[in-house]
Amino acid sequence: MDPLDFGSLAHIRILLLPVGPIKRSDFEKWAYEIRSFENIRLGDIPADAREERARFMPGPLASGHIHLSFSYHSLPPSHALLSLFRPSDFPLGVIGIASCSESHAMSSIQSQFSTLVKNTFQEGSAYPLARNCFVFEEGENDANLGTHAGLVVIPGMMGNKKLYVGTLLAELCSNILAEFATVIQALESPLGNEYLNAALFPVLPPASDMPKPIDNDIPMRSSLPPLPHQSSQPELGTPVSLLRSKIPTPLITKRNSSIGPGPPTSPYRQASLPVQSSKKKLATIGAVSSHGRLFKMLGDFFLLAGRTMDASVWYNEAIAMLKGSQDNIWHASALEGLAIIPILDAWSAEKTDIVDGEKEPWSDTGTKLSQAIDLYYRATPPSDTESGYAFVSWFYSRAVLRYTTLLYAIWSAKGWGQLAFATLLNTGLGVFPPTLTNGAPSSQNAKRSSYGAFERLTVATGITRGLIADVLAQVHGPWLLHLGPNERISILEHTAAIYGILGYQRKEAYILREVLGCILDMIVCSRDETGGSRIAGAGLGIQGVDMGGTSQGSVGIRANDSTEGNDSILKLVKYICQVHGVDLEAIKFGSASGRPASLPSQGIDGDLDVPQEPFGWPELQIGIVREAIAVAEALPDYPSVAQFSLSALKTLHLVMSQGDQHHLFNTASKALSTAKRRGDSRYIEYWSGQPVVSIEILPLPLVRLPLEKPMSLLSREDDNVPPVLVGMTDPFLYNPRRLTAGQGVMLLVQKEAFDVVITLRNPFVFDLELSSLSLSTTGVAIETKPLALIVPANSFHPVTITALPLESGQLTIRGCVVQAPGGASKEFLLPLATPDEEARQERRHSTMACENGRSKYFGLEARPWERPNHRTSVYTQKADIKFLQCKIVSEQPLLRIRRTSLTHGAVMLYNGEKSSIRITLENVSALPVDFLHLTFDDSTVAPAQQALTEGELSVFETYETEYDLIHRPLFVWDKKKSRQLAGPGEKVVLTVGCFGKLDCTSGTIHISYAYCHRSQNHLETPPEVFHTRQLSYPVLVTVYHMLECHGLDILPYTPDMIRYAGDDNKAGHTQTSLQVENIEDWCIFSVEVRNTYGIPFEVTFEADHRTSSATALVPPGSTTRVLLPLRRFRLSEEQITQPIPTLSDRQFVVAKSNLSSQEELVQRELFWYREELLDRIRGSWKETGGMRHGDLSLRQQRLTLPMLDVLQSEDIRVQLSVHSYSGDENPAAVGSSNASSFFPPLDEFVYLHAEVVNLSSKQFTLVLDMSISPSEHVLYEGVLSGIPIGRIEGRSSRKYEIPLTFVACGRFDVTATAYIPGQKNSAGHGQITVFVE
Amino acid sequence: MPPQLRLNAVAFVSPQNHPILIKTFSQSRQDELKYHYIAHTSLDVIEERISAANATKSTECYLGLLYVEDVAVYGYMTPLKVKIIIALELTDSVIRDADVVAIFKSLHTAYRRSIANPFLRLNAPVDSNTDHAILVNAGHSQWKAFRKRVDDVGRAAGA
Repeated sequence: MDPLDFGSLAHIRILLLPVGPIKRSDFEKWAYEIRSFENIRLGDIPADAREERARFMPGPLASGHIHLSFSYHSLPPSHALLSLFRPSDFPLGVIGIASCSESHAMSSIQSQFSTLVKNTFQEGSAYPLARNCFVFEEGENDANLGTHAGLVVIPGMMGNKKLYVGTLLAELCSNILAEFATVIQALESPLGNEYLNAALFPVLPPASDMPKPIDNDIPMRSSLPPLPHQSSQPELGTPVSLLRSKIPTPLITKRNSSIGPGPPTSPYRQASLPVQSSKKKLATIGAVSSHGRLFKMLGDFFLLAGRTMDASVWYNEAIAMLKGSQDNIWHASALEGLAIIPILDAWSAEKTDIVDGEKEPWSDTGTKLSQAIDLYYRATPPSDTESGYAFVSWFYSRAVLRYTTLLYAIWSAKGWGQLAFATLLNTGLGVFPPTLTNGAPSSQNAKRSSYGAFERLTVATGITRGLIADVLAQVHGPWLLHLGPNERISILEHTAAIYGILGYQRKEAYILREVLGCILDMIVCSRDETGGSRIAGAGLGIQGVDMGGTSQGSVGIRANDSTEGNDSILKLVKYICQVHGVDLEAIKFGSASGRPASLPSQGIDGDLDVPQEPFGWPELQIGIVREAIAVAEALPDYPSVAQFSLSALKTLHLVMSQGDQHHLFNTASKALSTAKRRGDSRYIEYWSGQPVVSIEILPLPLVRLPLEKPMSLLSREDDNVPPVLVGMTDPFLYNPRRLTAGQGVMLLVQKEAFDVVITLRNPFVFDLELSSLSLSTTGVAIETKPLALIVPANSFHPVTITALPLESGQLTIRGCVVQAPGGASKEFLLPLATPDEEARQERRHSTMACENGRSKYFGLEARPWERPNHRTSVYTQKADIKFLQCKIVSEQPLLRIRRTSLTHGAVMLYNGEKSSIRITLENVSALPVDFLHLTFDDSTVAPAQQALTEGELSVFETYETEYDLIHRPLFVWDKKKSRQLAGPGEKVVLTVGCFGKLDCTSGTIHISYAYCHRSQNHLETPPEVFHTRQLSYPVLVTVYHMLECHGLDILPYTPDMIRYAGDDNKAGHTQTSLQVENIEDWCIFSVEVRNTYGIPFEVTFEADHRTSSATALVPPGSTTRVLLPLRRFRLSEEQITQPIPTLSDRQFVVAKSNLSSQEELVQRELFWYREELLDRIRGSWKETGGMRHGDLSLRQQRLTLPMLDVLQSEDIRVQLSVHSYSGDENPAAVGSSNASSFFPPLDEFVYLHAEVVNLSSKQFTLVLDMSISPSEHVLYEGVLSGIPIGRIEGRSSRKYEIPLTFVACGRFDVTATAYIPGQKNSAGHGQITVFVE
Repeated sequence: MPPQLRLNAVAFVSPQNHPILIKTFSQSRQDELKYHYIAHTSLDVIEERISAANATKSTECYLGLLYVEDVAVYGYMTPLKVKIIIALELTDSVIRDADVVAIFKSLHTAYRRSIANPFLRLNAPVDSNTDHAILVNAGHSQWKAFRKRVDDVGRAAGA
């Protein structure tokens, strides 16, 4: 039992020593056997027959027990002064434990034992009072080991060893009790009493000083009351008078021996003690040499002997005497002894006293103890020696702890009862009482009892925790500094333990800090000493071996640091920090062996940067952390230093100053490097939170980007879908799939490197160094090199990692593996920010945020790492986490543009010019290209397409735009003509036609290529897709606007025109080409061409497939009208009633125009005639004196209704002529120069001949109107108007004749109009001019 | 106010056990840390007292003498769970609870008036969604008013 325990005053301490060669396990086994005897009944103690030794022997049939406690260590020599004051602290008996099998070893064991005892105890010390050595026989051999004095051999074959050991112990106790009598005998003598009163802490006088009792018939015993219990009043008279009478003598003798307060162990040094100090003391002693101290000692011995009755009597005597003498310390000690007696009695009684109602049974004890505490507190050691203060403080603290233990034991045992007594007398504080552990095996880390459990105990006992703590608080004070380190540590440990059990964890931590301080003091001090000696003893060889003085110090040696106990100290440190809300183990150790196979896969939810609410008291936390690190440095345990520093950084960096952060970081990195240098196998796991903010794959450059195409595309190679309008083949105006189709998985190419951009974050004020950063991927293998980098302080830092996929397939980038220098690597997963994932995170954050700031759990239960344990409503739904994925396609060929025929990628064209571009491609990969496809884009396409999709255009405009897009592209490429294969390293030349299109500024040639017909395994299903790559070649286009056409007109031939045209010589060649046979069938196409450019152009128009053409030179800045005869034509009815077509497969958009059906008919008619006209007329231009040529477009021109009338050949034609019949019946035309003018004679009968020709295939019923003006000079027969012609079949004619005569000279105009009855419009028309002379 | 009362230190602790302000009225700097520890360790006792008070449904703010070491430590908890801890120098004379309560009341008033400052909220960190950050702000070094008020109380109480 620990000397600090409550019952220690009543315990006989027995020292157990291993003797001779004995195995540790054996020693422990036998020691355990012996230790199991915690008490021995008085009845079992063999009595000693000798009378003078029987004083403390139990009486026959005495009830009660002797309590034993065992220890393995003796007290330090400095405590020797206390041998009389507190005998229970000292080992009163010694038991040597030896094991032996050979008989000859017995003697050596005996000698070893005696030497050991001699060494253990100082010479001249009063204790031990008894000794014995147990030799446990080994093996089964029945050798007679013989008997040796002082040795007890316990044969191995003995059955019930325990019983025997018990007997032996009882014998030992008997010896001890007998020796008590001897000691008291010595003290009872007047000289002895003087010694006893000589100093505050007296010692037993050495035997040499003791006068031998000359006559045995005057034993000291006679001076004492033979039966103390007989009278409550001690007989003071005799001893006191006896003493007084003898005072002078011992004083003289005493001066000779001069026992000082110093250690009495060295008598030869006593001479050096100052004589005057002993004089001073003696002067004081003389007055107070009462028997109080002696009585107190008697009480002590009786208490140890288990005779509580006698003890209490003697204690009371002592108190009565000491009270008067102001001997506070002895008084207090007596009170302490007295206080214990009721507990011992109660324990022995084995039954609980019924409380008498008013007073709690322990109140008396408590009062005595508090009195004792008070007395100790007030006591001042007479001498100002350090040890005096030390002892007073020591006893004061112990008294306080004793009182505290009493209260605590009763409290924890739910009141006055066996459990409490057991705690007080047997178990001490080492064992948690069952009331607080709820039956669970107790340990330091076991869960503390709840508040409710504490309160229940308080209610049951009436002792509050506060009361216990108040009593305990007295122990803590500056006086602790007087104590030696061992004592201080044990006092503080006890204090902390009690605070801890009471649930005062902060106080416990506070005290533990001081414990730690003491321990470290000792560690550092001892290290200094040993360190010094090491250097002195440094030699070539093993430490401790004397190599002789000559061979000193050429090689320094370094002993292995003993790390024993370091773990416990660190555990203590961690516990203190935990109480203050700092988790020093926030960063765990990883072992070196497990890396990196057993990578601790960081859960997604591990420590997402949820804003952690800071807990605790920042001012204290930082100080505590600094202390913790200092402790770890002092041990030294470098990995722990690093762990602590980094944990603190991780958890506290929000409240830390910059300097502290720097300091901690530097400490950690230094410690890590030191640990590594010393070969420590532990690694610190990665510490600085989630460093990866985002991971992105950089898209491949466009040239390398593979595009996925379905294989079916290859089969319909000869489709006619105009590529420009491909985008519009979609039958839906809004197609939601089109949006998603664009965001497919990212494609990467096997064996072609790609870049990943990782954004890292450093929330600290120092630059964070990462020794390796690599990608964590699943799926296909990639080749990548870890990166070492430094993330600047307080910033986000993007890093690019290059990786090379080795095979094709699916690649998933889960996150990053990060390693800090000297630490273990750790994987951080970064899920893709899908809406699901974001919602999940959001929910988590809100749960956290909701709990932040709520003080549902207060105090230490609110520590960050405790909180998740309390949380019951956890969002548990596990969403499947998506990571960044990309598809690796198999190797692809790569083309590049070797050269082009353009300079600087620019082409200059005239409007409508046709030219060509040559592009040379080179295959720079090892794979052939077997598919080549060109698509084009230019700057006019997008606006046109947009205009089309907006749908605001009229049908006619739509057609024009579409026609422009389809039939007049900037680039054209004839797929059939060019080679589409390129083996590795080969070149291909592509020729792309180029057309000058006005308003075009740029164009792009996209060359898609692929290697699609790969050889593949037969067993594999052919892939459904193939991948193309695209080369884009942008071309800068400049189109000059130089010729513009306007003023398109269609004119009818009139007879006059023919005439005048013949006179006109200026028209040159035009005039000839205008000659036509039948003017009725022809019309004149006329257009003005203006040259807005700086050079002349030759313009040619061809009509009707080169049957007629007109060429004109258009000088710069001038306008030339070009005339061209054009055969009139007529389109069939079916053709012109067709609706205006759309050229694309675009969805039909309801026309916005609200034209009437009539107007629509007209529009369609115009449209179709215009199309036909533009088809027939082809304009082209040529640079004069140059090679450049091109088309001249008439599409800007409009066709009007009058033009249409001219252009359209009529259905019915009326041909008029004037005839005369002369002689024969054949009519002859009179004097006609051509078909339209006649010269009949005056006043003669002629016939006006009208032939109505139906040119169409339909039949008409017609009526003819004729008019002649001036009509008054013409005589005719019949009527001129409303002449019925009748039905005329298609392609036939009918004639009608009117005889008439012109009665005046001059010019007559004759017109004839055929019309369908009931219709206003004329169907056919004829006109002639008649000149009469 | 009896003249023998001597106030050594005042501590304000937030409901989440964060220190708001620790004010010592002695000169030496080392003492400040000591009172930090005193305030911190007294939370043990305060927790016990609060639990006891909760059990008996008591609404008393004054928690009484917490413990005595080399100073006498008293505790007080405002209805909003801000704890006020004061350390009085040990004297031989009897200290009446009424005097201590008077000190606490005035300290509470000082705190209340400081926390009523609307600008405190302005200066609270944006990312903290907890109220106590604002409370802790009140003891921040840039808010002098609170310190001054506590000083005044301390002077009146004989610091």
